[in-house]
Amino acid sequence: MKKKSIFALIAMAISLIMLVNSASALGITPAITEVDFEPNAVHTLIIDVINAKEGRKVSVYAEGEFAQYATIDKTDFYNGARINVIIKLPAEMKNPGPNNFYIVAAEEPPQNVFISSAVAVKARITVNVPYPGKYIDANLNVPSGNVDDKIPVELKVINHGTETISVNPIIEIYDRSGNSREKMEFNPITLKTNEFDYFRRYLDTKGFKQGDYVAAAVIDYSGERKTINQTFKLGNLKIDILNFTKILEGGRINKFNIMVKNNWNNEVKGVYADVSLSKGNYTNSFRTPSADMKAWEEKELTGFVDAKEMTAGEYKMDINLNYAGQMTYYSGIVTVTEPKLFDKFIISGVIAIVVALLLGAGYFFLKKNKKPRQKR
Amino acid sequence: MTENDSVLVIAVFAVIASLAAAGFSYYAMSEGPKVSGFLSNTDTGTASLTVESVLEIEFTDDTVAFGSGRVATGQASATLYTNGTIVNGNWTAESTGLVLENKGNVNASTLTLSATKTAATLLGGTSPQYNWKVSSADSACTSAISSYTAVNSSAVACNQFGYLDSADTLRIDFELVVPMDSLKGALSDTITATAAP
Repeated sequence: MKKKSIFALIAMAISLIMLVNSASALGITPAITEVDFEPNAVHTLIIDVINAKEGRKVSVYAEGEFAQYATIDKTDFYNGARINVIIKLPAEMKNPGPNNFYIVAAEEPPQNVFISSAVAVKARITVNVPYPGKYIDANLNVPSGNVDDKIPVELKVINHGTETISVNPIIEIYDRSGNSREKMEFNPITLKTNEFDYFRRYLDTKGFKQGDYVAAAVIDYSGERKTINQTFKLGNLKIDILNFTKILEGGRINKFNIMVKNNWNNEVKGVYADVSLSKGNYTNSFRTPSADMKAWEEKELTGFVDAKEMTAGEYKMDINLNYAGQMTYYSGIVTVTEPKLFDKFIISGVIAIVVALLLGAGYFFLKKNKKPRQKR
Repeated sequence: MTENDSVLVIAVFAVIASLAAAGFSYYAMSEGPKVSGFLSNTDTGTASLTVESVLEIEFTDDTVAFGSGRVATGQASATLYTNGTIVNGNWTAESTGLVLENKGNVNASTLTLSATKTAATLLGGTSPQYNWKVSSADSACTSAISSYTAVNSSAVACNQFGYLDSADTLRIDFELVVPMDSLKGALSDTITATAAP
């Protein structure tokens, strides 16, 4: 019977182990490459397959509709490798715009484990085929910044059409009310097929107010027009107080929280608040620990107020928020409530009853189990 | 002519020569091109830097080990999860699943998972199940397989698998229903994660 049981155990044992001897990792670089189409052009790309697990075979192949134009010099190797991908473009390609294919590097899983895991990574190669006639792509980049500062404005224009074009852009800056605050004009340039150029200027934000703005680029190119927009923010070195603790319990130490917001586009270090609570001749003051705030961050500053001697009622609250040599002032009302003695009595009473019951039970148990004295 | 007279004559000639030289210099400066240390034209230079894109993924937790076990006596099947739950079986609990991390510097616009087997070919028997789901505690991706779905040969786990350290990890959990009449012995499968930029 025992042998049958053992046999049954073995027969019914199922090992479900998804196990790999060691971590599976694989990288490929560059992961993204763009190539401009020219009839019958030949391009050689260098791609590195990196961080392959030692001893794990890697296979490389091209994938996608345009993989037929790619030749890879190394298709199987161990421990990573640098490979050359030769792309021979045809005389023409019918689909204008970006045409993607991939170079795939794939681990081969080990053969001697129950269930293995493996990774594969792909590098994307984009062949940009010009559109017939006039066609551009454009990128507008305006980072957020601060008032009274200089912000770099950059417009990139790429000619993805078959015709040579003259490009004449204008960039205009609008505030959130739609008013134009700045207009940037540039000298026109000529771009042949696949050529690109940048239009750069600094935006002087002196006199600007904190808030949201829109940069609008209107690009005229040989009778055609393209418009792109981008929003950005201008900050001001000012930290606002958004909210604060409004109710405190008398008779104990309370947490006092102040929610603040950094309106600056940079980090502000060492932000702290001095808080004062006053009623009549009584004043209670404390300072919060300082905190560093990231750009545009909202954060809660926490201090502690000793309300043991504070009577119930409304107190005038003054907050002086200190940061970077500046100060934000805010005043309000904080209400101090009666201490919750009733709750404390209840808790104390319950504890006393439980302790009494335990002592009683213990005495009863001991008395019951006490052996009677033997009579001599 | 005394010696003093000679010196006087030489001095006079020296003064005349100096005045003449000064005059020639002035004339040359007034008529010829002027050269100074002040840059009167501006020119621009360019500085460029290329940062290569790297796509790299790694199974940082590549082991799900249930060990050996069997369906409890009298039960039609046992269910095993990678969240630490075993129902009607005595396998070792597994609580972490597989964990995949994007260690490169670009997002994977597509992450695909594939397996070589299904429930029928991995476990066999009556009504087996072999399911997976994908989750991301740090919001590295919003998965299309957010609830247990049958494992298959190719499924898009998520679009936009992030690379920032604060959001670059996802977890693959499994649900296995092992019937009483399942296949026995060592069973195997391969889970492959494929990332594309």
